[in-house]
Amino acid sequence: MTTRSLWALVRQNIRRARRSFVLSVLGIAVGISSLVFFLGLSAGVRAVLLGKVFPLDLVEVVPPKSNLDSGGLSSLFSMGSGAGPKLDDAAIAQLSGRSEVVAAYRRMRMAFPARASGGKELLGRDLHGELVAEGIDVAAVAGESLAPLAFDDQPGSQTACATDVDCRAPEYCPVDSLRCERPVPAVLSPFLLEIYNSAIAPSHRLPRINRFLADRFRGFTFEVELGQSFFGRIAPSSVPSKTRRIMLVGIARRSAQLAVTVPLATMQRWNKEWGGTQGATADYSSVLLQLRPNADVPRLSEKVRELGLELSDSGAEKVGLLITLITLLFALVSFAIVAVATVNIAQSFFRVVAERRRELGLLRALGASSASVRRLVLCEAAVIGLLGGLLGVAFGRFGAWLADTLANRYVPDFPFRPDSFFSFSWLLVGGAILCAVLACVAGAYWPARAAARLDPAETLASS
Amino acid sequence: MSHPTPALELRSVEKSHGGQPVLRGCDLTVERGDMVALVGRSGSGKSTLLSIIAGLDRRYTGSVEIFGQDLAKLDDRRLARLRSVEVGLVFQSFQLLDHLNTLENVLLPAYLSDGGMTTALRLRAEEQLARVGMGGFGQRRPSELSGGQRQRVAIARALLLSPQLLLGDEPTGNLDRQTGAEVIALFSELHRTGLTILLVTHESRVAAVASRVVRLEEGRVSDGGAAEASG
Repeated sequence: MTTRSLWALVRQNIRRARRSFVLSVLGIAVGISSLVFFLGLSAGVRAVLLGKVFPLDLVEVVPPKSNLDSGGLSSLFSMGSGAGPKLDDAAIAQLSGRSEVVAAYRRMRMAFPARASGGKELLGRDLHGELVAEGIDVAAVAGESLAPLAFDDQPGSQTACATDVDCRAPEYCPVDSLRCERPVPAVLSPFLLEIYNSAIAPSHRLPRINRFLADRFRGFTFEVELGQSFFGRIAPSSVPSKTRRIMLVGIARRSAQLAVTVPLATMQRWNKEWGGTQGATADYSSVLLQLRPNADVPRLSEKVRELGLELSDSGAEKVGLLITLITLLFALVSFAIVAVATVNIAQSFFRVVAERRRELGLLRALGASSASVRRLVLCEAAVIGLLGGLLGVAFGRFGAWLADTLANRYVPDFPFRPDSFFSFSWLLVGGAILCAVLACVAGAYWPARAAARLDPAETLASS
Repeated sequence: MSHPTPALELRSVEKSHGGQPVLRGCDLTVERGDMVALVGRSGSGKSTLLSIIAGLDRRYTGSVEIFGQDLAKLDDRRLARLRSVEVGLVFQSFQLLDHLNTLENVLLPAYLSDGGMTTALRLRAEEQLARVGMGGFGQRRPSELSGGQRQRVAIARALLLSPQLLLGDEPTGNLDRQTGAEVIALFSELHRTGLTILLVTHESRVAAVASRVVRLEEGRVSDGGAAEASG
């Protein structure tokens, strides 16, 4: 029997038993829709949590905690210069040479106090606060869309000036040096932006920074007073504080989560000037390792421990495990629904085979082989599975759209809230449809076998 | 000079039902172009023998050859192909499918054949319907046809793939006398075109048009000669 003929016979069979066919399709569609819904939800949540909040392809190596615990207020700004293992260039070279590592980005925390003020041009009024900043290798922000300054440590033209108008924009005239300087470029993390949007902006009645404002905020500047804190003066009294200008140039995924990130060289320069002896000899506060896909993290972790360092616990693995467990639970429920539908399909096809005994016997008498009869039944089941799968995917996606719509309307905002809680990859959609087809074919297997084994002489004689 | 292979050759065919022998060593040869009537009382095993010849029943001993092919040596696929292409079957109860129209019923063997449905076969199906006097009835459902008309459609279906051997199991058994006579005339006409026909019947008027009559009595076939059947 040719495929075309098989399809024609399947169509004829479907046409005459529409109600039973539709019920079977709906049965499968219900199971598949729940499977698609839950797996889509799981993939969406996983993408946000493990892609944005706890990235799995980035690990942060830090000095052992005891190094940071030197006590006192100054430990807030300490650089891990205790007696234990250090995160220095030698240690970083060893880590970046590992096969699991694609790139290593050094980070250095600000080792002295500073305060910041500004924001009127963007937020409507000036904000004042302690500056928490960190330096990072400029390569860490490569590929990010940054403007209007390059993310590097450039002093500027250093021409003499009396006021800002004497300098070529975006340079400005610091009052302590009266030499034109380029503002220090800085980037923020998407995490910080989310925290601002979901927590700070609503509580202070400030505008949220949406995509439009995010574009506008590139080039936004604010003043920082280096060596001066709202808590008092902590830097060595011999070093006078200086006011400098910082310009935000964009959002960078690898920047420090809760700090303003500037070029590493800038931070090293500042630490030497205001960080005292501790700042001058400071090692790195952490190194960010970009991992290869499917890197052997436990092996890397072992090497990190050998060096006396630690992996910062981002919680990614725990979150990943939790999501996987929840996904498995929902998938299990969905598979149970599909299994029930499969049993229904089996029952339905056993009934169909019993009802069509005479017809199946006739087909054998007219030239159908037992394999052809088996194929006919299985093909009919596969069509039910295909349509059930397609309908299930459509139902699942509709459910996702409904859930997103309701969530957007009724669920309060929170950090990293995605536009959609769902993610439907082609693999998921194709897998769900395949699952539906396989479930139906599996359900129809025994009835098809029984149909193929019917004795044509007996069935025709009994009719 | 070589003799052509017979259309059908049975040798020592035996078959039992529930321990009771039904066929006790049947021997029969049907030459090409013959029209043979297999007669016998009800329950004598005529239909059982026809099922064996048609390759529908494989639980027998002995040998059955159709155009030189031993049915016992054919696998399921080749046997199906033989039923599809070389043998046409006509049943007492017509065996038309109610959910298909007349033309679709005639086309069923085409759907089941290796070559599949073609436009040429569709045209041939219409020709066969016209040949049995059912031209113009292609879109009717079997339920809209009389018994005689249904049997004509069944004959058209059996002829679709140009079989060399036509097997009929009591083809007039469900028809009234007049309609039965028309169907018998149709078989007779097909025989004149050179088709080999084996009809199982208990009706003398069917046997009367056959070129040869064989009897099945007590599970054995005996040659009854030409056109002298009894009822």
